[in-house]
Amino acid sequence: MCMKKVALLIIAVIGFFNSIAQSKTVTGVIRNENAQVLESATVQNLTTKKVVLVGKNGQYSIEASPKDVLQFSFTGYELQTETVGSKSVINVVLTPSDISLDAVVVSGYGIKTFKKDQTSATSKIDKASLENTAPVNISEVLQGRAAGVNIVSNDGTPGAGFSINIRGLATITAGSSPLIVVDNIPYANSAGDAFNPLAAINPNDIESIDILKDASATALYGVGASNGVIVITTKQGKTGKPKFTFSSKVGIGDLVRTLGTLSPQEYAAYRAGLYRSEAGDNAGFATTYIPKPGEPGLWELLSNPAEVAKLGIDSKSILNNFYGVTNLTGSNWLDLITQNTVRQFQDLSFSGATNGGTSYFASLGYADEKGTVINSGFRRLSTRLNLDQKINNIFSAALKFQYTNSAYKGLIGDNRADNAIAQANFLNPFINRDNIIGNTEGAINNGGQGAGPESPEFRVKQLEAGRSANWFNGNISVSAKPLKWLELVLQAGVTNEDSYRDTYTPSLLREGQNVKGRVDITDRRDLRWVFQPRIAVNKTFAKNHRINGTFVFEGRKDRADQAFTRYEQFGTEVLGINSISSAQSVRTTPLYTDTRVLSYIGRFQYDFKRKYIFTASSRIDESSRFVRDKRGVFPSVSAAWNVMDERFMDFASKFMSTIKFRVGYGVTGNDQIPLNAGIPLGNISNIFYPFNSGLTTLVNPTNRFANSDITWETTRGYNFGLDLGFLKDRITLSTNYYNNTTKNILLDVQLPGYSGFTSSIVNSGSISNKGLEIEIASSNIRSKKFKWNTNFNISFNRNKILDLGGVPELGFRAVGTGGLPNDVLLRLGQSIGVYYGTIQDGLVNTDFERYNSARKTQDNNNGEFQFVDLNGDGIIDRDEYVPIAHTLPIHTGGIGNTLTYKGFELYAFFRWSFGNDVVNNNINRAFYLRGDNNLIDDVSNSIWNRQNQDRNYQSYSAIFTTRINSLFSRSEMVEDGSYLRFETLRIGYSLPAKWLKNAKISSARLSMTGQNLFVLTRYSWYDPEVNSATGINKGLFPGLDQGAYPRSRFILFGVDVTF
Amino acid sequence: MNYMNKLIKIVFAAFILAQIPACTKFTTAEIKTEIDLNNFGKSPIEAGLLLGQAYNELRNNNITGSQFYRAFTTDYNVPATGTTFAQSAIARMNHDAGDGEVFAIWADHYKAISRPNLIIERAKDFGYIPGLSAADSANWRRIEGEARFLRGFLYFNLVRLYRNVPIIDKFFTELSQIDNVSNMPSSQMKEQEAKVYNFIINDLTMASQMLPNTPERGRAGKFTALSFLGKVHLTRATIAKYRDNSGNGVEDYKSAIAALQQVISSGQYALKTYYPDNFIRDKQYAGNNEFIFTVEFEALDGGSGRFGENSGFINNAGAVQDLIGAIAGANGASVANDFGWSAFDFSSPGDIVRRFWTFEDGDFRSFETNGRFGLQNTAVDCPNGGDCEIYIRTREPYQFTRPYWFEAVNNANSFRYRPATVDIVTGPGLNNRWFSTVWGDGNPNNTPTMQLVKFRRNPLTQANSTGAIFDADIPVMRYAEVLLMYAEAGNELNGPSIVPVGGSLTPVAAVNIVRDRARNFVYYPALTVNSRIIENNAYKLTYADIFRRVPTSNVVYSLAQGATNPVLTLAQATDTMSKYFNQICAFKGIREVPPAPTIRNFREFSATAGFVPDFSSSLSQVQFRNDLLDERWRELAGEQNCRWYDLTRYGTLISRVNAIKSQINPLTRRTLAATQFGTSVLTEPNPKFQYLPIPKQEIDRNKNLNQNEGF
Repeated sequence: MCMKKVALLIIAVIGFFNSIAQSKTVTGVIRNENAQVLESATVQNLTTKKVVLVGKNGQYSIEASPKDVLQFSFTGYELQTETVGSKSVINVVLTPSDISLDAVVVSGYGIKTFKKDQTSATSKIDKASLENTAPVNISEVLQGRAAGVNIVSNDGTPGAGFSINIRGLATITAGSSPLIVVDNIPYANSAGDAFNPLAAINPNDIESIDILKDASATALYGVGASNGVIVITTKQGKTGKPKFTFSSKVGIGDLVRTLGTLSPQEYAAYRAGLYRSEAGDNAGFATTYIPKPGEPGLWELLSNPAEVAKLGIDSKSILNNFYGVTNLTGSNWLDLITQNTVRQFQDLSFSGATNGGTSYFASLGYADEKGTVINSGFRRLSTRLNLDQKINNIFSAALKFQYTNSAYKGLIGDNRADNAIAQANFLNPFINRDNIIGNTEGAINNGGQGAGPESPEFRVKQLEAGRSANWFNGNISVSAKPLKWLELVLQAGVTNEDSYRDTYTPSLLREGQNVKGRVDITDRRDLRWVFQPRIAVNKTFAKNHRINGTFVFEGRKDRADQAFTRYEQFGTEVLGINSISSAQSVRTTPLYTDTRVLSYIGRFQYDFKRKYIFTASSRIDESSRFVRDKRGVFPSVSAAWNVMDERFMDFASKFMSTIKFRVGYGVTGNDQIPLNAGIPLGNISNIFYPFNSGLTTLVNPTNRFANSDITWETTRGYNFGLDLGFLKDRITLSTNYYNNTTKNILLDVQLPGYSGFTSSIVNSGSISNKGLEIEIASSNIRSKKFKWNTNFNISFNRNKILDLGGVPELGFRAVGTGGLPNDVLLRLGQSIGVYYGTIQDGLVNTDFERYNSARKTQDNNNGEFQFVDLNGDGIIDRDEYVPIAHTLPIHTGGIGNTLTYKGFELYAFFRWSFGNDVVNNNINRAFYLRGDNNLIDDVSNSIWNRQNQDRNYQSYSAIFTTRINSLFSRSEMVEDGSYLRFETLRIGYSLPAKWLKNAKISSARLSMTGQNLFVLTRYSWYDPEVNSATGINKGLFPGLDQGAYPRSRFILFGVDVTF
Repeated sequence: MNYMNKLIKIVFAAFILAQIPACTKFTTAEIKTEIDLNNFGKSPIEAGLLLGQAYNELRNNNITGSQFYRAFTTDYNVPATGTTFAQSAIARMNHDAGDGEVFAIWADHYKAISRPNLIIERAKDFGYIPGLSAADSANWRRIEGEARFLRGFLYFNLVRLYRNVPIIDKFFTELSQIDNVSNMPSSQMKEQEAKVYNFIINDLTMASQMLPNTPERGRAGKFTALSFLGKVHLTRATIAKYRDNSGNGVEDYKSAIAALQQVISSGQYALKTYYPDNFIRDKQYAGNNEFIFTVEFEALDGGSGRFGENSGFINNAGAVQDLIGAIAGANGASVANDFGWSAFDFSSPGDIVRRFWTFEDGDFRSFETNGRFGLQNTAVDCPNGGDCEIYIRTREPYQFTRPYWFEAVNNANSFRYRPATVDIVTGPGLNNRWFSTVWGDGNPNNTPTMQLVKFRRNPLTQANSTGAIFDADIPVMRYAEVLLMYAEAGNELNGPSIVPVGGSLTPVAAVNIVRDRARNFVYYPALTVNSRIIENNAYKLTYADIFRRVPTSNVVYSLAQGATNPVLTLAQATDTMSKYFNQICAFKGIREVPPAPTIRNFREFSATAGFVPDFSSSLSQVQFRNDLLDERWRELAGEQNCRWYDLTRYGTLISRVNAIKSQINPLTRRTLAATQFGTSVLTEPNPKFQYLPIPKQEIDRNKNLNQNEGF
């Protein structure tokens, strides 16, 4: 009944609109300087304020009277105006501009809004960034380019994953990844946080990237949206001659910086000296080797190349047999395991449109990166076809199709404390190069604690690890436009990813030794389908009133089938990993997961003369991740006022072009919790229990309690925005202030032990993120020959924990740091990312100080750290744990400059982070001779000894005998992680058209791109932009450095040719 | 236009209609590779899968593993310095409610308890429904019985450790149930402990009625339940009579006798002829069945269920997997490493005192140092030159054959390189070096760690074994303990020489069965006095070599400044040395145990006839009780936290540990207080350290719980 009324009402309205729609029209085609048509450009009648969107083939038609002025605009092009006069056809050629003037914001679900009409906070990645960088993955382009978007890649591994926060971290244990939407379809990815989730997308295929930031924009995506939404639009064919583009870039890279360590001989000398001076004090220290009086010790011998050279064969064999030393001159491990990186990109595309209403874009891309560490790299082969076909006046169809094969080589996201880079920097240079087990230990290994060291070179060469994935995405849509104001679209997409990850640890490596070689294989198939019918309404009535609405139904299902298989006990390894047929499968674990979401989305926008704009949206989601409370409603409202359109502002129109206020409120959700967390589950265990009658299979209940009441966490956010444009928008300024509060946080809380479970996910707790974002785009100089554009953004975010489910603090242990638990605490009133530890107060220098210093768990020794005894009880314990590191930045931002002179172009982009601390866990290795560590090269001037007590670091014996573990979480390890990175420098030259004419080349550009040229920072290690943490809580451990794989500096040379 | 109207209508109608019903069916995810426990456990087969996991939980370091023996200090056991266990607050007896181990032991037990809880609930719901087949009914009985046994066993651990523990008897499915758990107020603490004992007795009694008579390896049977029932009654009786002085415990002692007598008279169990066979994988299930309950390990159970892995032993000193190759090379053969289970520290006087003063001479279960006295040497004799004294010889190259429990192992490197002879050496001129090890490559500056090695990987050639990972099973209840418990309960009722009511043996007879077995040893008739006993690259010593180092004075060593008591005299030394010789003669010189070793009893040889004498029937009740407690330690050392539980049920843990605190370790010549470890052990000898506090975080999360007295 209700339905009928709605339908009748709509029909009545249609009739009404049709009756008033009568006027004579101006038509034309809009092209660019290359005579290509610009579809989706806009034409506005400045008199009537009416706006039309340029359709396929670049054609427009708009009602106008002779006195009216038409304004033509298109993203990335200069505004142009024409007076209608007597003309009925006005063809326009727009000239490019590097500043987005009246850009179209793509929100997904087919919704495109002129920036002028936008009521919410969004950012667009500017064209220069997309074109001028040479990224392997799009995530590199996003870094620093948009205010409020904070991306930190895990490390410099090719294809490494990254963490991305839009407007701060709004969750604790639930996932914090934003939703990525590609051509209206939520992007499916299964790679996990170790791998770059965007690796399947070729950056060259991308037309635009829009970032939806405030809740009034993202509420459209409901339960997927509380971490922000990134909307990616791929390229389409444009009317004009078929265009054929070839682009090639090749370059090499190296480490931005290296850390100086002791040379092998210095190392040996240092160690020899330590033995001599310390052995008397500490019995444990001298475990390895005390030379007999009068004889040169092993280390003294090794420290002297001349003596080593004199050794006869007998002496060498004694050294070999007795100490296991064959590597008498030592090795520079870093040199042995690193190489110059090589990046290359080869891209081929052709596009165009026919008069028959077909437009097409096809591309083939190849990207290849050889990593800094030998045997590591990333390669991608991708192909895309985008087809649009107009069927008749009403119907049209589009097909987007992509296939990508990506392959990683080497260990990705290897954050073990002894990963290859960390080992290479700080390993005893005398470990034998080609044998990590057997005789290399013993005398060489002074630590004597646990397993001996392995040669990083040998390890890197022997280990075979990789991941390859075939990613297919097909996305088809059929749309009908039965009425001018009505469009019905049926869109459906399928994504299929088959990935295969294997790691082969040969029996020559330690982990593979006892099991006679090990291969782990993860074979996974991901299938997602999305079904998305939608209705769009767009109608202007009574001249000044315009409504547009979008109604969407979306059904989505993701399923993943995975099998993890482990093989061990190789009979032979002559074929490396391919000897697998001689091995035994020791474990197979299947995993099936399945997520379904049903959504109903409605969005409605109304504006009056484009001056007062009002938007409302609502979305109902029903998610299979929850058991009882599956449904959520996510409404939003927002409004904008274009002040400059008011008559009373006319006086300012000479210098002001835009003044716009925006205000919005919206609700979004987050359901990123482990699947089936609400259902009590058991696993068929891969362990058996051996009764007399044989092995019994076990069903093991999961340790996490299944809370069937959980539902999504909810973020409510306000956004206040002010957009200013000066001098016909030559300078634009966009500012946003936001205040988001996340409630019902999905928190993995510890349960009482007597429950039999460890934890449960509950909806509890609250976090707020407030912030300010400023984006400035300026066309500083715009002469015919010389242009200078600047893009600048800065953002401030303040994170605050409001509620932790009734407890004052929650403790977490940063992954892999060892030492005391709970070095990361979440405390009410503070922000996430605060590390706790003790404050260091120099060293214990004398017996007097020793007797008078506060005790740690045991007595102090001379040469040990002293810590500040805050409560004066004479004992250093948990009471002395105070915040020592604040790892969230005060502000971050980026600045890009583009200079163009004739055919030359220069683009330079810097980005920064200010006010964040980094917890440098490498310090423990680099400054303390422990086990087989090599040391940072100025160490001998920094370590305490009895003769030189004015030093910064603990004496060797103190370290050796006492609490290595308790060394974590102390103020020494915290460093300022602020940095300014020269991310991109690109110099391009477009060959003059007249040179190319004869070759039938329409354009040709040569370029040189430098990536990551330098980093200005006080941080002492490789790179302050680091994120070593892994696992479900990694978001809580920002700014942790545990020997991360350093980023490379690249220089690439490229050529782009268009026929 | 008309068709358009219709189209619009249809689309809109479809759109709005789609919103009305929640598509619950579509948005319910499929579960394929996991099990929805809401719908599981309804048949004996399914419940059996859950039961397997309930057993598997016992393979936990905190339940039956090495944690207790390494981290719980008693008068005879101080955790090894330099290990994490020595730094544990429990070991130092200054634990509080916030201690991590206090929580871990607690949580692991309750996690294990949740498994039988689920099974018992399912058995109640599905095991008694009418129409079940007889076979299903019987299966349900057995499954429920096993679950009840496991739950009783786990609560028995908990109540002895924590006393005032909440009784959880359901598998939680709602958060609110977890919050509602309540406990008795602090003032009624003993009543809560009593309730838990009643709960355990109820579970074990029901289990004993439901379980089959025939023992099956690894699974609880009727006599498993009865043995533990006897142990629970004995414990409760001792608590009443000695710890709390709240009664005479007679009823419980009688109940203990009644339960234990059923085990004894069942005829299912007997002592193994040779004591060490209880701990050697290949022998555990050969010969007599002494095991009433064991926790099982098996190489083929998926790679993670091996002794050492689930039980925590893998972290033993020296038990590092990657050493195998080096060891094999050093041994000159394809012999892999030989690790055991370690618990004790040489420098801990409790342990040393125990070994020197309490272990009886010649007791084969005792510390195998044997030459346990000092011998001064001339500079010539001293392996490293200079003035040194050899005190004990602890390790020989025949590690494969000997039943010893104790040996010195040092850090991984030394052990790996010269896994040969260890002599303990000290130089009087080097006061800061307490004692040393003579390794093949001779570093006298090291402190070896003396450790219990009761469970050894043996034979070394066992397939698929690496490091400390092998397939031996952990004995949790042996027949020997049943005999000792029987003797204890009987003695409490009527003294040592009277058969208790309902019993069949006198206490003395019961304990002497255990004593007699201790005299059995592997006999090698071909060995002679001059056989080479020690062999490695650097030193080749024979028995004669040792005797050449005749002490030159009556006082073997003098104590450090200020000490007064000389301990061992030359006479003692000589005497012990000869006994030592007799013993080592029996074992030395052969690297492998013969396939069918001859087992002989000391009594058959005049030189050793006096070793391990029987308990005399003329002992008084008090003497018998004291000797029996020591006999329990000798027999059960390192098994199931025996000593700690014994002392706590008698309420004497704190006084006993205090008593040894000032005793001097004859090797290190230091008291416990003078060691690194001693600075914090028992600084506050508070009786509360006889048990553990309820973990703080439990009370923080549930205000209904009450803290134990004193914490």
